[in-house]
Amino acid sequence: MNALTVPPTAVASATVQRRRRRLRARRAALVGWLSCTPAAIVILVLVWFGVASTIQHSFTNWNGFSADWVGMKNYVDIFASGDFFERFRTNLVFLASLPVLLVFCVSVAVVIYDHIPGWRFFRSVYYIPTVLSSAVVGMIVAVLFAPRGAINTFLGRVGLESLAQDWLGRTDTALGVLLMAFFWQSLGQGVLVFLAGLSTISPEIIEAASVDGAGWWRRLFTILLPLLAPTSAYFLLTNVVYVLVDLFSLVYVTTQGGPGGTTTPVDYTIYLKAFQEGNLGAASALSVVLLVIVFACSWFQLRLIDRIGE
Amino acid sequence: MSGPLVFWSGYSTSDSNNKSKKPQDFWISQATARFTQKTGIQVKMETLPGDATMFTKIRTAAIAGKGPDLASVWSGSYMLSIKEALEPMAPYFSDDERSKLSGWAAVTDGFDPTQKDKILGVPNGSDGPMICLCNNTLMSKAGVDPTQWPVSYDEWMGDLDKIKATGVMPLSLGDASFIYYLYNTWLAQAVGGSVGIGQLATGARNFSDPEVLDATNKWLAVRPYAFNGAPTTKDGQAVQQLYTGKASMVVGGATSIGEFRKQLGDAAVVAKLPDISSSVPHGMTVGGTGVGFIVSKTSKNKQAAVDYIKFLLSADEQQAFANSLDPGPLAGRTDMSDVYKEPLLNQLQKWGSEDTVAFWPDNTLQADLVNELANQAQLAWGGQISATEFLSRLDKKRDTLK
Repeated sequence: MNALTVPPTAVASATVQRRRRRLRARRAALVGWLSCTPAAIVILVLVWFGVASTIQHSFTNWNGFSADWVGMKNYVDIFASGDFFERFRTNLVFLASLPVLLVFCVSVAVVIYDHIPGWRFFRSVYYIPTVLSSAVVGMIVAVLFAPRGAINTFLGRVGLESLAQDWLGRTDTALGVLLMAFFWQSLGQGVLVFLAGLSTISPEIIEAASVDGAGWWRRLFTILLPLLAPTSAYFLLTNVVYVLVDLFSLVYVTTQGGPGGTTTPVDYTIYLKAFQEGNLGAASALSVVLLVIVFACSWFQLRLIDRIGE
Repeated sequence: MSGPLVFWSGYSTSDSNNKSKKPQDFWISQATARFTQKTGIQVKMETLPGDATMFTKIRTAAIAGKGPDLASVWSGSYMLSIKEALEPMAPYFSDDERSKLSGWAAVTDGFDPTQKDKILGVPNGSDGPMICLCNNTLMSKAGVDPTQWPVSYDEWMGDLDKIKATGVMPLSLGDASFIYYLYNTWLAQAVGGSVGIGQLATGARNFSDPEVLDATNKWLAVRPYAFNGAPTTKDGQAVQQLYTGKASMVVGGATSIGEFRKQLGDAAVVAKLPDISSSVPHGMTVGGTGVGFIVSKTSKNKQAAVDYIKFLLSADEQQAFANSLDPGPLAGRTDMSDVYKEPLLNQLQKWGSEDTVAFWPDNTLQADLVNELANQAQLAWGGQISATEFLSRLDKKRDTLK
């Protein structure tokens, strides 16, 4: 035995400790797996089983009761008929409006952040529509803009009867009304997100800019918006997904996709194909196409967020 | 019998014009109570949506195997779109029982009731014809006599001019009446009736044919005589313009007659729409058996469901329904006539039994084509596309469905 020799009792003790550590690690892993398993099973059954089933049925002419294999026909039909591009146009209009919504939300958030007189009142007023469902917002808007609704009645009473029209009966005005409803509903959520973002910016930076003579708009565009880039990226990511897959309830209640299907987004088309026309196979194919588009957009945006983070 | 019969009902059990009327005041609730009393079978009634979304509910339920025992739904191609979920009805009805009910073609796959194995529902009376419900007081002031209708299209438009000159809007149209009642009447006239509509569905004739184009242009010429925004106005709202004296007529059918009489009294008059051209069958209307009962293939109470249907359609119950003036189809029993105390309903029943009633075009055409028709009609009515474009889009859609 020499100085370098480890006593047998010490070796045994180290071995026991290693075993204990391994045991603890295994136990932790087991607890982790057991904790995740219920959620994983639920997601597997409710989400991925549905996704897999949809992909499978997209290659059939499934009507809900029977299904025959038709290969790529449903996918070919989607792009050959031109219907998809017409429907996707509605989603694109909403997508194109997102930068405007973003600036709008940031502006209101900054105004509230600056604690203008009555800012608490305005914060509540802007947030109220957020707690309403899209269906309720759509119903309110549909009633307001009906041919004999409040808007046309008001225009008539103030001598502007010539401006009264069938707001939901024309493509341009119907899209305008839908966008207005979307903005109205999204503003409160957006303002909250940006208020949270603003709270992370040092007030000294804004004060220094003010001292240097930067006006309100200059501070907004050259200081706040760049510093709010991560918040903006998050806001855009969630809203891009929303306008691609979640316009159904708003459109269904407000315009029912009309006039002539010109305000019908892709998700509403899926509903029509599946449940009014009974073409569940074609609807499945359209769902898969939408899924790919949403995945691609989300992936691109997440990469962008990573870049901003770096 | 496993549990109560589940009936998804299309019958209304509320009245927007009379909020004090309770569900149990309606005939369907009372008839159901009588059935339970007679047979001991409980019936659980649930209301179906009154529009095409009824099939969303039924289709999803049927796919999940959770459909009702029976339901009352729109007939024709609407009903047949879920034919895989429907119990064939021929084994439950004797020839004698079948002969006492009219409208079997509307609930038969292929519209030929001699093919007994393809009968998938039970016809529930008739919607009668779609006609003009007129305020005769307002029309008299304009020197117009709707009791002399049907007239030619040009004479009718002349009458609309006279009414408009008195400061009253001649027509109030809603999202269903501007297309499914008014346009479809003239479409059916232009193609010569149900056979022609069937030819449009198969492609044996085209929507772009000159006679259909002419009818479509004449339909669009009616726009200045109706309130703005028909496609985005509910029919229930449109008819209020008639009741408040702001419009002289609406286009509708038997289901509105009870309230129509109540609101307008002796001024309530019904009249047929005009002939769209001199070459079409005189006085042709659209309508017929628009509703049928269905029994789910997965029901465990099929015989009880059929017994309930037979009870509702029995002569005694149909007479009680007629007496109630509740909204719904006209009695469709072949062994009953003049069943209504209301002369307007008897008039509609008489018109409804004429050969000039073309079966609902939207119950005949494919569901995708009906959606396209409704979509494009909205654009045409709004002036966003021409009649020619409207019809060519229908042809294109029909051709993609072949």
